[in-house]
Amino acid sequence: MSPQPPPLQDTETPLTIDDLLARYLLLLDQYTALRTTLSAHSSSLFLNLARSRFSAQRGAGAGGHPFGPDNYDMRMQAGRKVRVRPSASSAAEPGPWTGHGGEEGVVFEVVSPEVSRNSEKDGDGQTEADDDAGEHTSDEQPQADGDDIKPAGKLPIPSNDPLRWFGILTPAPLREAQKDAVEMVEDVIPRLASLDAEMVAIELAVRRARKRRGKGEIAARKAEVEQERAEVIAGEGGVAVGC
Amino acid sequence: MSSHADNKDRQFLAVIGDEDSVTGLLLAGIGHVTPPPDSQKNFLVVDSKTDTATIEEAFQRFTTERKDIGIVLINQHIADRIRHRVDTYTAAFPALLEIPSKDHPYDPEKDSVLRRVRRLFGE
Repeated sequence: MSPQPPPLQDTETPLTIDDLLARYLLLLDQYTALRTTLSAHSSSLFLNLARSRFSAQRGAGAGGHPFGPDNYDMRMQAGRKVRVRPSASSAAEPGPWTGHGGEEGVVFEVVSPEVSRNSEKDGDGQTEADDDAGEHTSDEQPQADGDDIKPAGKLPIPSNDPLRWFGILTPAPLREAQKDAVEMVEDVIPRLASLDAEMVAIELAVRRARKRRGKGEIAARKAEVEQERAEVIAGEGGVAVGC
Repeated sequence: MSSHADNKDRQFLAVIGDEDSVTGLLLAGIGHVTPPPDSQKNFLVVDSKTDTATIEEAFQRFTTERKDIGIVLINQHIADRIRHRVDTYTAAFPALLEIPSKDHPYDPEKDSVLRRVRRLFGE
């Protein structure tokens, strides 16, 4: 586990380029570590999908479940949603993916509507997501299991668990694939997105600081030249008076 | 820069990927189809027959036209097909992430974030 970088100070004194780059490198370290995690989850996901196809073909003969786009329920509603919040609000829990207190810092989260509704209601920041997508209900929809509950004049409510698109008896590897996907979507991907946002903000800050430093150097050089010129003029004046 | 209120509406993930990547991510419950008559999907399944114009169009739709997308995921090998668009994408929202696919593992050399890092350090 890589060390957590300290959150950047939100003081009036501008951070030096070295401070910014040090933080940037820590974020980069976390980014590459998360990339490795994402690759591991992806590999596991693809392996489990291949296994589930294999087991379905063995069980159902040539007409087995392909687990592909043909089976998608085109009435699908998102069971996991993105939440964007300013990083300043997370000052109490500074983490590797929080911004540096400026307005541009944002944190991405992916939550199920259940979690987001609870946290909005309680305001206690409950973040524990239920890994089993089958137990989620959407904000807009009543419980899918209640077949007798139908909105007036609408199509039947689709199940909110994507596993059900592929039948009732889904193979175990497909459920494992779903777990991998949930982990990617709820944990790794939002953290990568937040890190990327903060890295962009620091890149901008570094470029601005470099520009300022460049301008400062030019001004200092000009002042030096002016001073030298003044000294030369003063020296010439002294020689003329001496003659 | 867009305000926080605007960003509150960005609640969906979008994905442009091969069949397995899209199926996997939809299993996590990110898939969303808007009500008819629009019926806009937040995913595009790309196969060998999908032309680059279709991918570019989906990228444009997810990143520019739709205001309800918070994160766009794209397979790295598909991002390569529209690399000029991906590398010149600088907007803060939606966030853009390249993800590995079954046949094309993640290549850090092509990652647009790591390209930016190299630029910052003057390589």
